[in-house]
Amino acid sequence: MADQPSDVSAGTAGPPAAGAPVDAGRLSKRGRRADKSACQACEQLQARLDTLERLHEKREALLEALAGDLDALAQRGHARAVALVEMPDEALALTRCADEDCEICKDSFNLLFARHGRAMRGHALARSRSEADADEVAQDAWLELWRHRHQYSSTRAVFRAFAIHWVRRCLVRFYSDRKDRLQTELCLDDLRGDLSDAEFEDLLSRRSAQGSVMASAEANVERNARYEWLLKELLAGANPPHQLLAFCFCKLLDWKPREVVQELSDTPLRQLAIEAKTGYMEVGALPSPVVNLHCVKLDRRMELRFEDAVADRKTLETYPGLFGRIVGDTTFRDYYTGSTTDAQCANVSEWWWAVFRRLVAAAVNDGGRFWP
Amino acid sequence: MDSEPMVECVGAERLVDYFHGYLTDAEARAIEEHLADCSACVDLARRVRTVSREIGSWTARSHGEAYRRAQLADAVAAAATGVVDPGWSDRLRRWTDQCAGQASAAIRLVKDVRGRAARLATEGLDGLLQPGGFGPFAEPAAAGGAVMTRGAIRTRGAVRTRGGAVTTKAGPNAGSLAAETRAEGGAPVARVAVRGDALDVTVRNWRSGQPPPLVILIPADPSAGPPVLVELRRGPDASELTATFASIGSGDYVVAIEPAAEQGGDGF
Repeated sequence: MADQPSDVSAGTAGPPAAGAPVDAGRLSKRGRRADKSACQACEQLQARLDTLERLHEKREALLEALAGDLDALAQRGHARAVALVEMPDEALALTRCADEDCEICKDSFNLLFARHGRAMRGHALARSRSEADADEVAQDAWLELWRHRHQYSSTRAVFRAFAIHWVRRCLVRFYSDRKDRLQTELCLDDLRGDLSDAEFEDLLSRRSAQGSVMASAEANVERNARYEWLLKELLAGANPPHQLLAFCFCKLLDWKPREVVQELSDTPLRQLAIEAKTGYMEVGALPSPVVNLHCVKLDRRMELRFEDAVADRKTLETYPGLFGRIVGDTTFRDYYTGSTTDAQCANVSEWWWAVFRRLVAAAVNDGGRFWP
Repeated sequence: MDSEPMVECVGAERLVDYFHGYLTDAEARAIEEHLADCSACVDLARRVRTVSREIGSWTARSHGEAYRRAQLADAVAAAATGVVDPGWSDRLRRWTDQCAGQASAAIRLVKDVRGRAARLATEGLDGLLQPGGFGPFAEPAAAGGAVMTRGAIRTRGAVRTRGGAVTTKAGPNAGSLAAETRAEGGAPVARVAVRGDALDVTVRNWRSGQPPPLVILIPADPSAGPPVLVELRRGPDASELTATFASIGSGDYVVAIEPAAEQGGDGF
């Protein structure tokens, strides 16, 4: 079987070659006739497929809903296609015999590409500078994936994860080869979670942009301006106060949610606001005017009733018991919806993440004054 | 295929979840399949990704570092415009162009409103240090007065800070403290010492053949005055380069030493 498949030109599968009939009966659960001409490696494949089919019985309903382009293959009378269309990704990925002309392997390749090609391209598009870059990366990724499919193990991850992993690797290589340091770093961040520390360090040594580039004076000023914009957006914005303070401690001051739950649950928000402000100045070694300038609105909100300080409808609906309370007098414990420490840690994580999402959305919609 | 294709466009907040891996496999796949066909969402996704990473790196510490670097870069650039000496002018221009926002060594000096109690601190200044420079100042040591805070990790109420810091109270021996960079293998060593209203900067083991470095004193509050720039000179002990900033009033300052030239380069 060829290392590099020949047909990777489009986002849909090409029709399978009209070759000799294959062992569709053995591959398919519909009981088609076995084909004696299948290669020996494919015979060995059968045992693995049988096992996999048993493992994937629960996916029967999902497999019935495969995309229309795959069904179309079957309707054109390709028995092998019908058989393969019903196979889960994990089974198709196991078609790796040594016969370069093995039709089963070729069809498996086409079907997997039909199932994952668009998502791989979408993944690359979101992480590349242009459509041309993304198309090149997606194509490279598919070739690499097929070349390395013997490394795939269904016990470690679903096939989609394996496919996306190769897109990420190819993105790093693509931008590293072009000395695009920012894109390389971004793509390395994406890839970090896929690899062990040793693998990642090895990749870094080979792919990371060489040497350290001094940030320009303009870059320093811009980054500082962005942080000041964020601080203002955070402190003067409309985030529910308990979420905002959770963000301050967990994100800005690097507290773990568990530490917040254990140490800050019963401290009034008014006091937490002071501690957060002081901590930000001390940890950042920032002069007080930089921070105090933006704290006026937050300080005022601490003296408002809950229903006047919170604009978010969902938050108001979640905490009807807090109506009438002064926000600065409430504590994190008043906002927990869980009773166990783990549940409360999850609450804190959700709070600060909600603020993070809103900040990103606000920055993206800011119009590009401070943001690229 | 285990999900219906996503038809509707994706919002920024949903994309944040997507990029940070907070969606299920099916949800992520649906978004990616949508992106394959929607250039507007691809544009939004690229912006979300870049902005998300920037905000992801935002902490009090990173803000402090950015602030200090911007402040140092601004101060050096401002000083360069007012310098008459062409030699200094060239060096400041190179400092701006090649090592903007960086220094061989940097330390923060805080003096209270009466200008008596003083504090030397290294917190938040790591980002200023030039690779291969003097390195960070070691934990400062009080030569007189009472030590109020010190240690690698400090707890103050609910707030933890890291980094060495020593404060002297107002008193008979107030305002006497010093900090020195850690020396390794004959590398240059910088020492900063508070002496009453004055601040002494000393460098030992300076590389022969290179001009003594410039030192800049930057007030955190711009209204406190412009940055002050001096050049270290040979002191009574010929092996040392020294400079003194006199009459330092209350306020928050950063002391930064010019980045060292690259070995073998056409540096400063």
